[in-house]
Amino acid sequence: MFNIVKIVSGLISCAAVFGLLSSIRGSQLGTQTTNEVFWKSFRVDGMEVEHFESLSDMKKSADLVIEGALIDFRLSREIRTAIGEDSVAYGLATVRVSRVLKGQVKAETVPVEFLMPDSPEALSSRVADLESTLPAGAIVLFLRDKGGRESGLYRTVNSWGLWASGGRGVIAPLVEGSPEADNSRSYVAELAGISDVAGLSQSIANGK
Amino acid sequence: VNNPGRRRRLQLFAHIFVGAMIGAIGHVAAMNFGSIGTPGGSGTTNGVFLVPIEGGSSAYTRQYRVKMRGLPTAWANDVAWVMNTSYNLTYVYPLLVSWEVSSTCNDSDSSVCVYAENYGNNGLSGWNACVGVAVGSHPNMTCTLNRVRFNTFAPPPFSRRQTACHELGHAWGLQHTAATDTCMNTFGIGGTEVPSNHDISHITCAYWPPGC
Repeated sequence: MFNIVKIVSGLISCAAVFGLLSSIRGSQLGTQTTNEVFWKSFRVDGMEVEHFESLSDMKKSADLVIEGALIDFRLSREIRTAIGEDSVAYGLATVRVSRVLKGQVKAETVPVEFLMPDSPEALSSRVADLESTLPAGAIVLFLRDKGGRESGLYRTVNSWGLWASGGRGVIAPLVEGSPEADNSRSYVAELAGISDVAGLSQSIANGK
Repeated sequence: VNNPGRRRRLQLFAHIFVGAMIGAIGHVAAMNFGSIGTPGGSGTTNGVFLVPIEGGSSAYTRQYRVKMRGLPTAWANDVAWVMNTSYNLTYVYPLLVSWEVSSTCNDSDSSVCVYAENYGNNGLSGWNACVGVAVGSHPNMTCTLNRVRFNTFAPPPFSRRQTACHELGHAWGLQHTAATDTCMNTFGIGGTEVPSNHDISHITCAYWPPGC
């Protein structure tokens, strides 16, 4: 009888551990929101020029930090190079500004360009998909003025420069991996206790 | 209750259950090892395993063939250095790793097409994207043709070799890492121009399982 009890209690323990693991994995994956689905289209496996140890450093460096909502998306331009078979496209997101957290805006909307990693053949259908599925909800953007011949356009400072509300609270949907895999561990601590974009926005406004 | 047969069955069930648990833990722990495809629509997938070119004139029948398309001399020299140094695996695996300056680059005879252009201020010194046929799902997605683009917009804070090692590493299937002893660090931290032993082990396991 004692052995049976030991076995059953062992099974219950194992089931508890399994449940815990499943819940951790579940929370890591989360429930994809429209924002997550939309913005992950712009994930690029590339080497990023700008890196920030913290979100406060990112704010200090950014030319413009805003909270707003995406109201339009379209193909911005296609760069056709001397090598005939290749071209690179950018999409243009128009963001209506609801709060300026750093810098100054010249209009109620800000144009932000995103590199589109799609092949030239797949580009038109991808743009059509994106145009018809604009995500609702607020986003926070840390932006760089492109300057030069691209003056008037902005880009996110890096893949951590766009934040939205997601299944796991506040997420950076342009980022492929986790902060631990990306030298951005300190962001996790800075985001502790922040559950949505409004909270992040207020935290940035407060000086973080 | 005191039936020895029933007790043995229960013990056997418990062992199987615990084994499954260990397997599940192992799966979770292994998630960071392997390709990290972006399962988007339109065939866009990044950092996936390449499909070696089959055939060829040498004793090697499977090839990782890099074609340089109109690269400035400095970039061409550094891509050649990376292929000769960082990914010189020809004598390790039955897989011919080669590079050449070429006037064509397509699915049938190439693994990676490399370009260097001024793509504007996009915050990237280079990036990799699958433009060929993507098959399978993460973490075992494969791609028949990758394009690697180096952005000459502005001098990056790291070397051309480091960028080349990084982007060609993605074409092998390597993903970003926080480790600083490899060129696969997302932000180039560490300044390394070669992949780590861990990365090479990953490539070995993917392309030549007997050496794994």
